[in-house]
Amino acid sequence: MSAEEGLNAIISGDVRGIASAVQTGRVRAVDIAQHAIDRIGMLNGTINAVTRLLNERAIAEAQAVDNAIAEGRSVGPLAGVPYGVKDLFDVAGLPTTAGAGMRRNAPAATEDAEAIKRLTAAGAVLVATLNMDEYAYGFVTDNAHWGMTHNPHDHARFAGGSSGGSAAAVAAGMLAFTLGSDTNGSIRIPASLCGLFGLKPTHESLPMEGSFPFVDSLDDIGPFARSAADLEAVSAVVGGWTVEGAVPSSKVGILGGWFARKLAPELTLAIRRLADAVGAKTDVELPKVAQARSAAFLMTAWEGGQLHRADLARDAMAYDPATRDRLIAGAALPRAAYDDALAFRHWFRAEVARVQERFDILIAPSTYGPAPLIANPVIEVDGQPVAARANLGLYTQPISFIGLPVVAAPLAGPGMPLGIQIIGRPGEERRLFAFARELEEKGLLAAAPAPA
Amino acid sequence: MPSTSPDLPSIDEPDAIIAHVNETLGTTLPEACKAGVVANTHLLNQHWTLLREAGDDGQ
Repeated sequence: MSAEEGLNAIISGDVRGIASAVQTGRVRAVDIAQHAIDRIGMLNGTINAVTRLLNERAIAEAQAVDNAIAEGRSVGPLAGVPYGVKDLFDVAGLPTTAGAGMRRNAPAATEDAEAIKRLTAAGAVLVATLNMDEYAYGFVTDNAHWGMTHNPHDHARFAGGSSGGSAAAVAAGMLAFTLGSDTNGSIRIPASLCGLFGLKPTHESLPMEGSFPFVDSLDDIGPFARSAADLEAVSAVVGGWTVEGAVPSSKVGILGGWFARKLAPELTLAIRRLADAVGAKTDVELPKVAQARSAAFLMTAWEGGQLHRADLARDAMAYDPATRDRLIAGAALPRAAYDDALAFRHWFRAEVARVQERFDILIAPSTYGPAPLIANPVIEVDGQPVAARANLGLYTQPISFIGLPVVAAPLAGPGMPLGIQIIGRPGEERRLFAFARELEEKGLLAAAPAPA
Repeated sequence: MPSTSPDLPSIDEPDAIIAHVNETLGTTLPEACKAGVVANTHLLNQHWTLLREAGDDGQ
């Protein structure tokens, strides 16, 4: 194997493999960073995942890791691992755009977001900022200012959103992991459509400082990665969580009702196979899921509208048309609608907790099926074509509405990626990671291979 | 219990929707926004109606 082939083998491996190779001196962090920069240069023209390439910063951070190793100093668990962040994380010296054209020339952030600080301390190397729907209000990553992010597995299809750049960059093999954010499904949906693992953590359990807000009551940040173990390794650094100790076995239920009746046939079959393989109870019902989704819609519209109300009144035309009209409608929504949603949330959370007394883990689809075609952006719901942009969150919104932790996971198999949500009780992320690893080992879950 | 506030204007009354939005935001909506705002207000109204139905039968 040539030196170049050896480097490629290390870089195309997992997060922990890269860190191990750097820590033991088999490869320099600088070479890994340069490889990531080169691969982005080669692929980004067609995929459009990256909005800003941070060459100088990446090489400087990688050099610092190499210097520490050369001097015998300890380096962190993510030493030399290249990553990127959704364009709503503060990066010192750059404006935080949140995907908005009007923020291109906003004052530069004076320091990194807390999550980035923790990753830097662990030796990870920040290489790029990544595309998103404007202000994180969308499920497709079609941005009027930065363009459309394409699915690496089929460029004619959506990558999902709003963290579409974060998912596409990992799925294309540009970066080893990325950070995104999830309010109604913005990590889980692109993870599913791009064939990756993603974490929507328990609400407010990962640090939000230095991330641009959308809906405070629902917003969370989280990573994308190519394996459950990588996802846990990155989450542990960002959250300051321990990854040691045994996790007990789990009683598993597959959600039915709302979560089963609108699925693409291939996803119905795949979930049935998975249920058989793990001995899960099927057709577990949650009550009033349609209302939970509606309440999430109303909370999102009201809080998002209030956040942008003054700017909308001043210069609505500066917004991306895809988000503008939704934000305006939300800004004019009566407070009573929001209060109704909050009251319902209190009831729904208690009802779901009752179900979770019987099941340690609940499984649901992440989306109705594979990524929609960009040229035909509709999905079928109850036999009727509806807009993909507004309806890709059918199965994700009712779950994040009550702040539960979810590992989004890719089902193993040929064809376009299909994904599931592995849902736990608040604070039980470790159980979700352990279960996802177990399914990976059984060959039931697998990240879609990065295209050559 | 769900609120008893009046519904938003119906989609059959787009002018009433625009008037409601203009009054709430204290501005005049640009022409390019109007159709999208009417459609999205209608969508939110549907969600609010569905949510209120949940309140009508128990919680």
